[in-house]
Amino acid sequence: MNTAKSTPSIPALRYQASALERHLVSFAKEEYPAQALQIRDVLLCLVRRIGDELERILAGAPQELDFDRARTLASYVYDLHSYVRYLRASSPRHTPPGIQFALAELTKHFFPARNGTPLCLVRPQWSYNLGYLDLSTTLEDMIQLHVLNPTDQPHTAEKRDLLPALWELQQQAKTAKDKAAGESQPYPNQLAVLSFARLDTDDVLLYPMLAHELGHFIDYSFRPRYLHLKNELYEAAAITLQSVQTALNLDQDSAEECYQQLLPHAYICLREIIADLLAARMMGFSFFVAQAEYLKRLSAWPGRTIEPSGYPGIKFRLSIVCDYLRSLRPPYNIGDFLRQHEDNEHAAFLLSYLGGWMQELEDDTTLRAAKKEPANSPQLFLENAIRSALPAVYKIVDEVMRDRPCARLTDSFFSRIINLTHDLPPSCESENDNSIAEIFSAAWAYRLKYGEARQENEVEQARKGLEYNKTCNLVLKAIELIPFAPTGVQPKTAVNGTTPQRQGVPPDVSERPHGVLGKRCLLARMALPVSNKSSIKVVPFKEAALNPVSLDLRLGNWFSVARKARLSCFTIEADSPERTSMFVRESTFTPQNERFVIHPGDLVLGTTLEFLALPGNVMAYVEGKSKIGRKGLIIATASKIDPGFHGVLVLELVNAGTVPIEISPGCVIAQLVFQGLHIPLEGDDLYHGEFYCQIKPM
Amino acid sequence: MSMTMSVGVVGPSHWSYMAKEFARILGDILSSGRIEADSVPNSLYADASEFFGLLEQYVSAGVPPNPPASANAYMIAKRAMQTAVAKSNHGADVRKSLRECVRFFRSTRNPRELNGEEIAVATSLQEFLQQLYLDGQSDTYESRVHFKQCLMHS
Repeated sequence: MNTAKSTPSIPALRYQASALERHLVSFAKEEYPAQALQIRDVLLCLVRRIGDELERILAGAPQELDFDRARTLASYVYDLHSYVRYLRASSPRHTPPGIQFALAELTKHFFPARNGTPLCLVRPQWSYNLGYLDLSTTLEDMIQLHVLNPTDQPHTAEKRDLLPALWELQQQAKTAKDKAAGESQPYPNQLAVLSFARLDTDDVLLYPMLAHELGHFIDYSFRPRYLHLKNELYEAAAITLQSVQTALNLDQDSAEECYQQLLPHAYICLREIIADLLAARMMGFSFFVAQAEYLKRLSAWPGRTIEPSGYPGIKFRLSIVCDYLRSLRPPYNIGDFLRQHEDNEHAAFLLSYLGGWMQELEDDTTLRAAKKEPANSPQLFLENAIRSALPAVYKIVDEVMRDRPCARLTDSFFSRIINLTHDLPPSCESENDNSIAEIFSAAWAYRLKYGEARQENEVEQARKGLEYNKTCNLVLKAIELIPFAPTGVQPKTAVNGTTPQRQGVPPDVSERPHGVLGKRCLLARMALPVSNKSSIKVVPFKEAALNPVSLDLRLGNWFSVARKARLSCFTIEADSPERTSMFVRESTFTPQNERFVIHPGDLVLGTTLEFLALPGNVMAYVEGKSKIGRKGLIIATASKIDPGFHGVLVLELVNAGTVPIEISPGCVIAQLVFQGLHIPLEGDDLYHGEFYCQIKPM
Repeated sequence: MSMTMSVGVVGPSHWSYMAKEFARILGDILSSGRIEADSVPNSLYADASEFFGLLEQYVSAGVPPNPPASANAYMIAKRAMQTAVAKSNHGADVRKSLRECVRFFRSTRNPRELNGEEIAVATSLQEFLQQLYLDGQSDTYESRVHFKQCLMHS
């Protein structure tokens, strides 16, 4: 008997939906950021609904149309499965938690509350580009009520209501089970996935570019959706079928074809410009420089005004961003701020740097190229339309982000640069909503004024790249330290040279030039300007952490564990590859309020939260704390720290007891004893080894 | 930078099931020559409204709120209309036919007997939807079997 049939096996499709559900459930909070887990929960709502609908089809006697519906449901499963890659790539193993944190902070600060509840996940992608995915709209686009909710249970007037309704049902089911845990969450109605190029993962100075993608997120979430574009921009741009036909002198069919191309191109161009300007508001100077550096890699100067795809050309978009930043009122105007501090060498340098850019941007090379095109060219028509719409774009940007202050530079900007010049993270004692933008601005200022020259001056080719790598590490460390700093107040400049002397502390640090340094001496040395050769810096520093002859250190977020199942053995030769190989070691990031468990007998590499910078006349020893030692935790075996060392301390944590030990980032884990040297070390004798400026275990 | 184009832009496969179901219902309507209040289920009407809404925004005067989505829906519809029912391939004629179809679709919530002119439009709409279904099926097959390049790269 021939049993072949051309209809799909619905149990097989149901199995695929179940497999996806199992896959999603397996994402654990220990390994993924909270944003990934919330997006996972949204996807779970849909997958479970799809499973239920397939069950329903299976329970009846499927007809031809039911098979069509089952195929459509299966296509939803395929699409949803492809989104799992976003979640998987968001793990700290692939996405530095610093990026995720910075974007979450920017979203919290700049996303207008009237646009909804935002949730923004960041992840790397293989293709060399940045990207924005409007996940809410993508999921809404995918859904069809007649496929997912043919019986109107739960009742949904519009398809955009279905996901919140399914979320609510899921939360109710969850609440019954997890009420005590208080895990009920509001539906995040604005979901976005921002992507950066995987190649740029360690290229921290390019992170401000992600503000452009966040700009898209804010723009697209504006309510009522698209109305601002329709009413303001397109009227200003005046792109209609009639205007295309008249301006380009075309017959109706040709005009129609041209209109079909120009309309989406104008849309792309305007939205790119809006995202650029929103990013400029959020990240200020750092966005302009990062974008200029990024685009220079990709396109020759000056390029077209508008590319054939509709994307604005390199020079056109940079000139728009530059004009916008110059048009901002004080205290947000960078030019005004720098002119006010013109006697500062960094301000003077940056003024000249920006002046150079303005000269480049004011040159009319592109305009002249465009003028060679015939007057009725579609490209010229589009350019003119976009230029006419620019005043409306500025207005929209202000409207989209009204009541939100722009990024600005403050006095702490200069002290952050000074920190970087002395190989310290550009941190302040207290941070605020403006800190992320200021840290990146300081990083770029440092890079432009000092970093490139230092790189050039390195004789050894291999060391040239280390300068850039070091800057990236220091910036990332400063971002990672923000959650540990007091917030909401103007950043204090205590880390750098402008620190006021603490009262009652003798400024004379030569009191005990050698021997173990006591509390008074340490305080005095920490209060010295960073440029002083006796200055000791600990970032972040809390006076309460000082003991009579030591300084308490807290546990950092990064851990490195051996992948025992793949490792045959370690060798102890100096050039042994095992220590750094990802094959044998795995880095994990534990957020501030989470726990990390060390099992009996395990060796785990951890770090101190504090970034330490020792001068040439001081060395230090890292020691355990008695309270911790009594629980069986040994914190370091290689305990000597050389003069000139900069970086976090890597702790070799061993649980020598018989009971697992839980530790949490931020807890006091060790103490540091400082020892003065009779004769200070200088030049090549200072530590400049491979762990210089390390920020996590290697 | 960015995936600006993707918002609201879907392939014909997205409309495939809606098109088939709606074409079947139009078949029932044409056989009886009458539209009942519940001829078109609410959820199906909502899905079809989205598609016809995008078309309507494109073929009416002025700029659609989401131009790429509307232009995309129009291109999908234009191809289906030209393959299935167009008496002429001129843009103006296709626009006119689509406008008629959209108007008839909007009237499917009003119970009434159909007149001769409406029967002709309903027949065109049914043929158009059947073609849209076929285009959607091809789109699904091609996108899955030849696996979209964008998924491989990102």
